Amino acid sequence: MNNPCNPLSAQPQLQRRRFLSQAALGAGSVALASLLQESAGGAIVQQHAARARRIIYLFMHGGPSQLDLFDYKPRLQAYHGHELPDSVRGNQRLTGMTSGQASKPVTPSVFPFRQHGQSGAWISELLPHIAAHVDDLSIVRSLQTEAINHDPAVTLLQTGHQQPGRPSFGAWAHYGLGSENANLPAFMVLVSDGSAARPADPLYARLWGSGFLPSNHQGVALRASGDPVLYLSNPPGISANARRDQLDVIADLNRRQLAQQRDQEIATRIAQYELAFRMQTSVPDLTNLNNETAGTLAAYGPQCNQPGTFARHCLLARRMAERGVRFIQLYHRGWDQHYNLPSDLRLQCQDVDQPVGALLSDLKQRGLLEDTLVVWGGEFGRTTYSQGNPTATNYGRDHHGGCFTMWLAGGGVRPGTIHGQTDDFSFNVVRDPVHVHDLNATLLYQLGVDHRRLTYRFQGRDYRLTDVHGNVLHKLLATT
Amino acid sequence: MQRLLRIGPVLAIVLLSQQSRATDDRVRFNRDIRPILAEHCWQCHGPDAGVRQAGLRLDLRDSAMQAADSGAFAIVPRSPQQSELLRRINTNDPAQRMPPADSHTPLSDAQVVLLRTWIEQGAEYQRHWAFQQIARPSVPEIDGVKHPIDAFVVARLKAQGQTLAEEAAPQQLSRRLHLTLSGLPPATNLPLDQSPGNYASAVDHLLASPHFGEHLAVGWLDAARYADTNGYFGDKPRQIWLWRDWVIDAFNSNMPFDQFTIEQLAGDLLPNATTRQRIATGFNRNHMANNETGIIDEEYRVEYIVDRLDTTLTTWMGLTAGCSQCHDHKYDPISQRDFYRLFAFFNNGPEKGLISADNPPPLITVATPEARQRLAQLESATVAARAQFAPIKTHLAAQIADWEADTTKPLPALPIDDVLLYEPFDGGDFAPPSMPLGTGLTFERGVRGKAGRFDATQHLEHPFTAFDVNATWTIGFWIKPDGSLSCLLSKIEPQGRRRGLEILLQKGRVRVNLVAQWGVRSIAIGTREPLASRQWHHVAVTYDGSRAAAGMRILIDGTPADLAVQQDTLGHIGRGHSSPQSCTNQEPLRIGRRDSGLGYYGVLDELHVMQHVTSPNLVSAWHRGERLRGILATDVAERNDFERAFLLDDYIAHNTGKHVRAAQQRLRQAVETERTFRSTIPTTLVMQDLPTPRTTHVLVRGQYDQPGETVQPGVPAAIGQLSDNAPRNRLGLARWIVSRKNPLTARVTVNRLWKHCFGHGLVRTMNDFGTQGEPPTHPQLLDWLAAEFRDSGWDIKRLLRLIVTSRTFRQASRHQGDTSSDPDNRLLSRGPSYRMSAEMIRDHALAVSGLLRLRIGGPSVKPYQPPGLWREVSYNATETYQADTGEGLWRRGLYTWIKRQAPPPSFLVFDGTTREKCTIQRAVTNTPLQSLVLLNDPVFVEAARVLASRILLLPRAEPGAADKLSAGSIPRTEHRLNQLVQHVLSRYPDNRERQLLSGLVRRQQKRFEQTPATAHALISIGHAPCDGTLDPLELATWTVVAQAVMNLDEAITLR
Repeated sequence: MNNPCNPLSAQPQLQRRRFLSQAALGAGSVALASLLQESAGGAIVQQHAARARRIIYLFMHGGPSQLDLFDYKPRLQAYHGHELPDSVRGNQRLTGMTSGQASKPVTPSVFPFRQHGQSGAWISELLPHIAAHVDDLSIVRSLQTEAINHDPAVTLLQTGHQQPGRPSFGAWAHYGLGSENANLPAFMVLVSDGSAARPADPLYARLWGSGFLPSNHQGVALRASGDPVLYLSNPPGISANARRDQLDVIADLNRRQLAQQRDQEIATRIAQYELAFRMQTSVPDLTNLNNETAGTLAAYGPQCNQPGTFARHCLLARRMAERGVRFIQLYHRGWDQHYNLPSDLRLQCQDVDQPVGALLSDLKQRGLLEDTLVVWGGEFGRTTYSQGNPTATNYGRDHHGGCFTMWLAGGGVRPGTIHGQTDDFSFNVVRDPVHVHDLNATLLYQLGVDHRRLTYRFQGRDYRLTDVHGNVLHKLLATT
Repeated sequence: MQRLLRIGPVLAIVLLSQQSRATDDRVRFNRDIRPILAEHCWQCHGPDAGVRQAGLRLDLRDSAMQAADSGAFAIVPRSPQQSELLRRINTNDPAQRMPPADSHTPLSDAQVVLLRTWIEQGAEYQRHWAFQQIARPSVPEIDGVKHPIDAFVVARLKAQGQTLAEEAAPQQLSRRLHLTLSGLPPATNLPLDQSPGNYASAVDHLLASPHFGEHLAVGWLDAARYADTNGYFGDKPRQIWLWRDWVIDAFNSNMPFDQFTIEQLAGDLLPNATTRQRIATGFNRNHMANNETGIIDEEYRVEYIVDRLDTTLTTWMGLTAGCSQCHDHKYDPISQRDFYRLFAFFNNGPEKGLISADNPPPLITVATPEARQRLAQLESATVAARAQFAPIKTHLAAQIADWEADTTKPLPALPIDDVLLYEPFDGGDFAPPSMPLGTGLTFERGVRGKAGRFDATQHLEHPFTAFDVNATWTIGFWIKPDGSLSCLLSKIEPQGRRRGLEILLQKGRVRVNLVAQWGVRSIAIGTREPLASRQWHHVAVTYDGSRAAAGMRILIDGTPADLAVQQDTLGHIGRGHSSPQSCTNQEPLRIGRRDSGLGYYGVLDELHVMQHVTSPNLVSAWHRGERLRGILATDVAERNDFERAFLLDDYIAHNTGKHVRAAQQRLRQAVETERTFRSTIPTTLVMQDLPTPRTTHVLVRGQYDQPGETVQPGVPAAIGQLSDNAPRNRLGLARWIVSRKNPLTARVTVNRLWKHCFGHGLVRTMNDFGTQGEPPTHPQLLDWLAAEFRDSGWDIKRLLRLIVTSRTFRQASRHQGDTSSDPDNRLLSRGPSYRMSAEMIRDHALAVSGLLRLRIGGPSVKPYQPPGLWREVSYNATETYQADTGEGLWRRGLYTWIKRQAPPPSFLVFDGTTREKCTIQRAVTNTPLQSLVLLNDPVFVEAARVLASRILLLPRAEPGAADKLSAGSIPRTEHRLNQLVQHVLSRYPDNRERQLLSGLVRRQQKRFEQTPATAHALISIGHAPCDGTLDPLELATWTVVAQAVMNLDEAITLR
């Protein structure tokens, strides 16, 4: 009887939904309460104790190669240059880019792997800093997705559906859990370009959009140049004092209108202008790194000194975590190594390895890793066979949804574990497959939310992030 | 809070049932029982045969009365004791009790009582209200109430002991009426005459305004998911604005809604379809379209059809079929088979899933008669220019032959100074000490002699250290690339800091990285325009050693290229470094490779490396010199088209007189003018059917590659059926949609028009008229309006006139008495009040300032937008938003260019959508980001400034003016404040408001006097010119004050 199409499988959510629809449609005082809800009162859909209060999602956009980073396949050498056996290939869908390629030569990684930490996980030489944290990670090598192209795959991972139209993960989290900091958006997004020579694949506003949820749940992108949040700064010529004066008059006039119309939406609007004013301080405070020590800055690597880089974004992510931002979404572009993988993947890893290592250390050192769930991965993996003719030093890999690797850290996941196993070709999952929906169900679970009960009715149906699927991966979770 | 929420709805249900039974003791199925069954039972005992339990189906009366698998009868009319259903919902045995505990959907006591009473009373079923035929209800007769809408509304209010609110103040009503019908505030500064005749004529005037159609169109564009780009992956621009203009025009000409429907769904199938009727079919071409290499064509073709089906059903019938794509619907009587029968109507287009053109066919070109005429003129001009040039060309051929034969002719100079390396790729040994590595080069004819062909499996290494990338240098070569991503040449470390230099080809653009520390200290520049692939290009890069991007040049074919600077940090001195860092390294120069990974695909020729900066003039000569020498050394018969054209052009440019050059220029001009004009003739996407329809199958679990049984086109049986003689195509479907057999269209449409006027529908769940949706707040009124609309010939303007002339619409919007008595205005006990849409807010600001440009229709426009938003998300970060200049900055919001991947940010903040999917009802939120937009977005700052000038330029009030407030010699500031508030809020301020605002005037004026520079900064925002006669300090002051008024809740709210 747990069919998710049933709106009443989630009684409290039904009320939450009505509550919100009411808020959106006119009962302003309620909207205000929702907006300004502090964590104490915000856990409307929390069905169990949360292990994570927030998520830092390090999204490697383009599909990093599991074969060259985390999924060590020593036996692949024996097949080097041979055709991928039909028995391995099975009936997995291939993209239109290589389904017609006559030869599908098995191509082992050129990068040496080494075992690390207590867990003994094999990690390639490209990620030394992340490898140093291996005992904090819960590595899932058996992720699966049915999508084999960027747009549907990234949309599935981030919204639970391949086709556009659904709310993004962050929007769901915000909708379900509210905000922990009244002066900052609860869902923030940071986008950086990768160093790979290959052109970066596109991103879409929908990936941090609110879909059919009210738009106040959409992510707010923090930008590297210009205003960090769009339209945050006063126009040239308007000082903070002048603005304050102007806002006071606006508030006085709005209050008179409220007394006359008695529409609580006006009360909400008055509060929103105050909040906007506070954001003009709280956002610059977030992005101002003057109080960071030289040691901290150095730890994140030299690129951290430059706005807009992934390294800078990792540091900002920590600062957001400190300030209670609920969902911190980073995108690093450029992981689509169809060709020239050895050269481009090295560059991509160089962009992220040290900053991610530093982020984990920094969170840990500040006691934030306990309740911050860090997620690393992309929308799919890459093929065992080379796209195009491989040479001794150069090859490429096509998209592969049949298996890929992601890892989680902090936020109550079991550290130092390796979940799932793929075959010798890293082409099929042979143990503990994990679907995208399972991953999302698990992430929600750590936030204290039952993924089956966080629903929103739209067009007569109760939708949820995990569609009609998803199982929580309890094996990944630390025992309390 | 949580507890309060939990009991809230239950209480509401009990209250509602008590209310409803206060007047009528009979339990009604639709009102009382259907919601219970739908929410608690149908999940397992409903329409979906796939999951039905115990052989029990409760959504149809006949089935519910039959014995279930167990032999028991769930419902025995008038016999509660024998009804198994009642026993099961009352039993204490957890194994027997329904609904099962794990469903977490227990019934309330009140619901159990209702079910019992219903069975006692005979367990009558009713068809779901929305599927019932529309029977025109009689209008309640109430003393003193003439307007039919008021009669229905007052009847309901009376039952609750309430009445209509007083009529809104005239100014407020005028503003409300204008905003409702045109989306724009009243243009006149005069209060509306209250007399009934004048109100009616204002209504007529507004309905006749061309801005009516613009305003009505916005909701329709949302439903149709209209946008200016394709949406998926590459998100390239498409042209379909002619369809948008068709919609505006259809509303303005009051096209009957049935015709409006038929033309959009099937205009192409009408006999002798006109161009306009074909343009109308763009409605169902507005779906997204995918150009991502590697997608499976059929998967996306199916996706587009599903989207069309969903959009059509939601827009016209308020139903969603989405669930039925994979299985029978859980609540509504749309089976999976029904779904694919509808699918069959849309399954016959010639389009593809993987599109290869930005404007995916089928499409039509629509030239106005004037455009056609102009094109004919241009075509003949081209023919004439060609004819004029032909004899010259013949004559030139002989001259060129003579010139070629002259062995003493001077040719442009090649580089000779400081050449560190020259590699001609002529097939012999490589210039020492170059070493070939990898699979070995092959050679073919190049620019001069032979050239080397690379396929990324080989390169040349030049292990010399004489060449220092830290100093001044020039590198030049010819390339004919195969792909768009390559490394042409590098001298760079493979990892670590990656010091050094590399020249890449990225997405066809030349990119140069000069690096001291990768991603931190480097120069990274690239050409903006891509090279044509498979053609020879001369590429030269020069660097003057200045450690700045400005000191680096890329020249393509001898001409400096337009460059984009990605990074310019090489000169920076970082922490711990007292001097700039070096790019020098010990790596060899690699030709045709970066490091282990990135190679070159294509042909390379005539490489020069020099340790100096070659001037652009010399590079130009170098380019010509090599090309000409190469061509002249080639036998005439073996020269290709490019070479012949180059020779001719070069000869004309350097060896002929004015008249030859002019003739060639005229021909080029003519060709270019024709091409440019041709590209301005708009095209638009249309629907079209294949001569033979495709066979449609049920797709098992909705999978594109799992066809099941074959189905014929048809409509859901539970709602109706096509008549026997109706064509089984979109035309048949469209006619059925607006036929009397389908009760949904009229209800859904009047509900949408009601919402347009009130901010809410009579059915609040605008997009769900199915069993899960909310029933109408005023069912009789809804049906009366639906009947009236349909029987009047689907006359939209008539229906709107009816609504806005009602007292219900004209009520004051102030919350009455206890604010909790009707918080959502479900009883219609007050007038409409809602925050305006993103488009309205923009239009309002532009209109009150006088900036708004009122031209109707045309290609979409690009107003101000913060820089970088497209670049950050677009493929290869190559797209940039280029704002319009002039008129395009100040058009109405509905003309703003919508890029689905990155929609206009201020629209998103005000609940505009990405237009990826059909949207019937936008959310209405109230957020801090909205305040930031209204306060700081340049468009609003500019509008405030222009409004301020408008106010400052007003003549002083004339004594004896009609308005008593401005009569006499009231202080100037007061007069101005009166006018300002009047412009923005369509009313005068009261004393206290004036006091507050004049305080602001005083204080801001003082501030600007202290820092005059800030005043200049503020009034310089925006492209609209400033009136030079105004005092900048005063203008800045009033800009701040105008902004304050424009930021009031009242300014962005329709009340």
